[in-house]
Amino acid sequence: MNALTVHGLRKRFVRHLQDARELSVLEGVDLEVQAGTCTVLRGCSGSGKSSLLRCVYRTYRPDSGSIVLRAEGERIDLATADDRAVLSARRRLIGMATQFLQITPRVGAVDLVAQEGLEREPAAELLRSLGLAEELLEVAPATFSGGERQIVNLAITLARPRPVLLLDEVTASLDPARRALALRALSARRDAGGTLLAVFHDPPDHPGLVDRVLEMRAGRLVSA
Amino acid sequence: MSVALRVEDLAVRYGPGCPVCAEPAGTRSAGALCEICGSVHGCREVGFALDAGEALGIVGESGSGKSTVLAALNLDQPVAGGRILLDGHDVTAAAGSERRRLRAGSLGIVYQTPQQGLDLAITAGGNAGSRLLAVGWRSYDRVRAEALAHHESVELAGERLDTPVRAFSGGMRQRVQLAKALISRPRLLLLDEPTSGLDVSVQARILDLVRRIRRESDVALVIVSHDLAVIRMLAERVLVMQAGRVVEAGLTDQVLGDPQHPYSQLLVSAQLT
Ligand SMILES: Nc1ncnc2c1ncn2[C@@H]1O[C@H](COP(=O)(O)OP(=O)(O)O)[C@@H](O)[C@H]1O
Ligand SMILES: [Mg+2]
Ligand SMILES: [Zn+2]
Repeated sequence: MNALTVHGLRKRFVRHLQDARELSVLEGVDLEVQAGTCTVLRGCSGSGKSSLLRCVYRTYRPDSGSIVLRAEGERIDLATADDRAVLSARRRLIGMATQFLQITPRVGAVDLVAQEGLEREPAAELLRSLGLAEELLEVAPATFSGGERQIVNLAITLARPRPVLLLDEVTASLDPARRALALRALSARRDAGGTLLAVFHDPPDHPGLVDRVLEMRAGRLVSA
Repeated sequence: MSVALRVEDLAVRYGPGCPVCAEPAGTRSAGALCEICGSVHGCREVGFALDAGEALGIVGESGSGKSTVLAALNLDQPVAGGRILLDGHDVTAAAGSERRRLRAGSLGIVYQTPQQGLDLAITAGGNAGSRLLAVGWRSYDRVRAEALAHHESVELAGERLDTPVRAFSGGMRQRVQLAKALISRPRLLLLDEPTSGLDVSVQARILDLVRRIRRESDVALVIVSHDLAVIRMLAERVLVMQAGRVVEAGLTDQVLGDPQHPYSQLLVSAQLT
């Protein structure tokens, strides 16, 4: 079964403040992601990888095409669903982690993860398993390094048992040891039946994690 | 989840109104001012639904109609058209004792300036407790106990319960407004620029408090702000208003990341510089 079926997805930006200049970023993307697999997207900067993930998560509004998510016996077209249906899907079915943590000021790392519906102890354990230093657990991530923020970000995304995860360069600022921890956590999620659609700058070197690699070129997908 | 608030085609007009005013926006007049009769469309064609526990932001420059929408939702402002349904009940035309009961019970509001929402001459506890008296509480001790509980839940010191609000700082006055709004355990909490004019550090702590309230209750929240950063912190969805109309409605991250309307693009680009 496909967890994600993207068909004919197009996205262009109209910059009204610059003479309505148009920029086309996705030019008809077709993509099928089987449930329980890990698909990796790669391609040059600007080829449209993040835009594709953001359209799927609906941070960007697609212009046309369909993005069908099937999980937990439900089916929703994220390209056309109304905002409240998208929010409901985000809470239960689909999560997204990016390279950058959206900082919530003044909330400690453990509490941020716990706010995703975990008790504090499992939240702390999840952060430890991703390599966050013990003395940072109760500190608000505003002062964290890029890599430490990335750990918190990934923990927030993994905290809920959502079956489909979109991952945009989530290991980009991690040192090799923590990168290995992150990939191990993603691999465990995939092995437990999770579906991953991930952009990686460097190919993830965790044995058996990646089921398929696709390449984006100028707004189109080609198999690599 | 249950729909706490549904708003359909809401219109508020300041002025006499005329046949042109009643036409859909854009038919003969698109702006906020009716050229025939001189009325101002405070807001028109505003519609949305909000579940219990959900938060909706409204952004737009001053004069765009944000406060007008809140005033209509708080039944402070007669409407020229449309419907407001609270828990499925049409309250648009509520009057007299029904309107008083709704305002004192189901609705809670924090106004932009404390003077609008509080009697500065009376105590913090007296301000909050007045709403319980308005819905028929008779026991002084129970009103006082409830006022104290809410006073402390908005992180004000218990010994200030009997201090006249006039002696409070701006941030503390907003906390008293919050206590007063929440004391009736409303279904709908309305916040009109609750932090503008406060020092940055005071503003931050008020926003923390509102976030905590959201986590700990299932009140539906509508928050008005000209500041997208405030909306991003508090609400998953947002309406962008300009000249009395909603020009864009979307998920907050979408409106910030991929604003569609020229005016939304202007707001977002102004925000990031
Ligand atoms: N009592 C009033 N009488 C006449 N015009 C009003 C009144 N209140 C608001 N307006 C007008 O209605 C429009 C919307 O105002 P308002 O709701 O206060 O906007 P915002 O809260 O977005 O700043 C503005 O043009 C404003 O001048
Ligand atoms: Mg206002
Ligand atoms: Zn008119």
